[in-house]
Amino acid sequence: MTVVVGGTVSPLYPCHETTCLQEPHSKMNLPSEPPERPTLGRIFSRETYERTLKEKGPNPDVYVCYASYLAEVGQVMDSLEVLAHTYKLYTMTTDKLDQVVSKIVEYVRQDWRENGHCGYRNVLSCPCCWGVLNDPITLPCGHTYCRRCLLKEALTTCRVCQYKLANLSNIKVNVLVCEVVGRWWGGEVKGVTLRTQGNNLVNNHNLQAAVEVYNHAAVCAPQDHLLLSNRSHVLHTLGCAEEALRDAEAAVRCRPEWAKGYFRKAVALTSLGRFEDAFISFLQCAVLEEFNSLQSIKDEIAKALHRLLKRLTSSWGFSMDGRSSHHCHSYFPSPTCSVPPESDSEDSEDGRQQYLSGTSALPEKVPHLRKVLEKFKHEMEKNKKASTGYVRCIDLDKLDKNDFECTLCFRYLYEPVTTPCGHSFCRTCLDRCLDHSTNCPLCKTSIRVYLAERRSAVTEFIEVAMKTVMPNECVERKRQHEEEMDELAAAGKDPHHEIPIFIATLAIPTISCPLHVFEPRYRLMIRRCMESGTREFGMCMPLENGENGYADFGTMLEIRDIEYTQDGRSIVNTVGSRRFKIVSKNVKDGYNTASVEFLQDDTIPSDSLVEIHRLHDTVHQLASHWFDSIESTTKRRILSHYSLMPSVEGEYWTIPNGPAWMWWIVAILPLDSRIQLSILRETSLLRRLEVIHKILRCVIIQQCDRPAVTASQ
Amino acid sequence: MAAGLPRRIIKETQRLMAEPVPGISAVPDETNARYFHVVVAGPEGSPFEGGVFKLELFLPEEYPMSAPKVRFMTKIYHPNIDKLGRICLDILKDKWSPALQIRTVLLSIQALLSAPNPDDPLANDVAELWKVNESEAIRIAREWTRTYAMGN
Repeated sequence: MTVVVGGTVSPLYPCHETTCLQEPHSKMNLPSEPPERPTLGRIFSRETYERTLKEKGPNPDVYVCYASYLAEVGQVMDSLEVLAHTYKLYTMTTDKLDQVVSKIVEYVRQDWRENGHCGYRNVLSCPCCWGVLNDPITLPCGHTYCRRCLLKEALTTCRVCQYKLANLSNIKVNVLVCEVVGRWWGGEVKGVTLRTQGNNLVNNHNLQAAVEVYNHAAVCAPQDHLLLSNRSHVLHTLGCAEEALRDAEAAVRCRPEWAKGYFRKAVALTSLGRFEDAFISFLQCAVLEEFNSLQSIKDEIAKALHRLLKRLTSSWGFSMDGRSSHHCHSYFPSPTCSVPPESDSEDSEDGRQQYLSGTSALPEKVPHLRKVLEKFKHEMEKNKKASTGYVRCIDLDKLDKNDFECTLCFRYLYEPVTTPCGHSFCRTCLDRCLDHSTNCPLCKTSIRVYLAERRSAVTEFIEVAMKTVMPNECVERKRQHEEEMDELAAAGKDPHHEIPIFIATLAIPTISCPLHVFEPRYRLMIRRCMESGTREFGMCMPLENGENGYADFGTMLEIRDIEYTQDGRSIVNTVGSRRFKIVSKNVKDGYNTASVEFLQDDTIPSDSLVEIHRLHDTVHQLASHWFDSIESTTKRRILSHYSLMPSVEGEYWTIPNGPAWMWWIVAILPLDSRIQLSILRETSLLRRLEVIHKILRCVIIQQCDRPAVTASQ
Repeated sequence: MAAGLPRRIIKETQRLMAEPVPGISAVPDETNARYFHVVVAGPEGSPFEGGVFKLELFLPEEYPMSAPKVRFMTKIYHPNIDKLGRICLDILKDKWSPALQIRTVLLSIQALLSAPNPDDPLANDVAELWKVNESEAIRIAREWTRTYAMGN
């Protein structure tokens, strides 16, 4: 440790950015609970404690257990009164307070959080130091930190979202955030540089020089709580407690939700002998602390409470043995000043009992303690009001809206994402670039990692900054995006809204169709289907003599699920649904689109129903028969791809695509895709039955012939 | 075309008009906003100085995902430009990035005129002469410039 404060309080919070080298992670690994000390066993009610005390007489251990119990159930005031009573009767040591302080801290923290007072955060500041972002690094989760804070704290998860961090060394400074921070808060950034110089001087034990540098820094960044806190720390070390207190109070004013400020304040107050206020500040620190271990703060609270109670009870003095009250104003009252000298040892139990006989075993009200606790509550309320109002100020004169333009679409950034190389784009723009290349469009660095992790976390800083300084433009940009999405979502609803067309194969209604998507244009197409929520597209088979090289009829494919590979390709599992006829063909962003009419089977006149039923049953029987006769390996292969023949639906003649088993048989029959296409486009169920009937008969005849041929060979 | 002109093309055009690159003019065709009539002035100190070179630039459907197509219309004696006016420039091929723009492409072409690169030739005969007898190559380039690029 470079500096020791007044010999009384060990610095839990050393100078910012200076001491992690000396104290690596010591804060993180401490258990938050002290080990359970042997007690008299748990007694679960106030009455039981009071009865025990009345019947068996005063006992310091019972008092401490009682106080812990009261703190645990939220009776902090009563708990403190019990402790005060104990201090009146016994010589107490700080370690006896560990358990009760732990309970008090847990209770006040819980109480504060249950009332919704947590999670203060200004997104335009670093989540670690809460200061201006210095060398901003945007993590894959979209939260931005000072580079130094990330290194110093050696975070394993993001403090904001608990995202697990790995391999941070490859992440570069966020170019846009750095630019904007420098422009908006240049003074503070300069202040950080000076503050760092000051911290280095502190590390070299040059405290006087450090104060001077800190003074310069304070001119650039008068609101820098870290600077104020560090200066407070150094001033305190130099013995200037008053000045240290002033800086600590200023730090608290700048960041009322920042625990460390209260710690500095408490330390200064302790040196000034203001034990009550120090206790309050330490307790505030414990309530607000979010990340560091509470154990060290609890230790400080125990010490503060010890001083407070000792001074308080010594001022009461004792009346029953005629001793006059003994005021202690010295920093550390002598250990026995509050109790008769002969009773400070547990050995002289008889003498103690004698002495105690005139004293009540139960504590009395202590208005002074009540005031302390009320002041604490009042301070926390004040804190709440001050904290919720805090925002980092932006001078709109320093705003250049062009900073927030996407270099790819030339519009304002929408859902901005940041690459590991530190460049920001609209999410959809970058995704589209990644369809074509795995390099950053700006600096050409490989961003395979970004692609492989399939990130889409928006860079919070940029989004919030934009919404703050240019709300109207953000609303307009969002509207544009939504309009585009609506346009995509309306695909196929009417002839004006074209559907995207995938040209690869003949898809058949109800039949699954897995696709390997690797071409950039189809990656884009599939992504749009997913983002717009349509989850479907048209599939047409390629046709050399067809217009634009593909058939005029096709089937919609509904996306069931998508598995992505690390390089951005995907296996898209789809299933055929509606059939369509193309009205006109077009191209959009490299892929085909078309205006279509959806097909459904002609309505069957009631007088032909009998004929349909008869033919349907015949063909169905023939199909089953044929399938049964297939050689077993082929059959297994068919079953693994297409599963069992679907059973016949009730009223199958009313289904727009007809019965599903017919599509199943079309899919597995050894047919040329042109014949399949001709069946697909047919909207007369009767004619489809006739064609399939004919094909089945041919196939069965061929099958019957084949064994004979084989035999003759 | 299915969709209207992408906003990016509209903005690029506006900016090219508002703040033109010195020595370069690019004007969209009246009937096709993706087709630009480009005129590049031969850079000072190069054998093309004093010449006015016409080019055509076309933004394909997939622009900016794919590079603009650019071609010299005026005959030019240059190792990286062939008889048909096709240009050998990496950013127009594999080094294209969607973050590049019409402006940056034209600047690169201007730079190519200032610094011919005979080691990565498109017109082999020109490149050969450029390497073997640079002063003769430069003389021919000047002559071509006078013949083809100065008659308004």
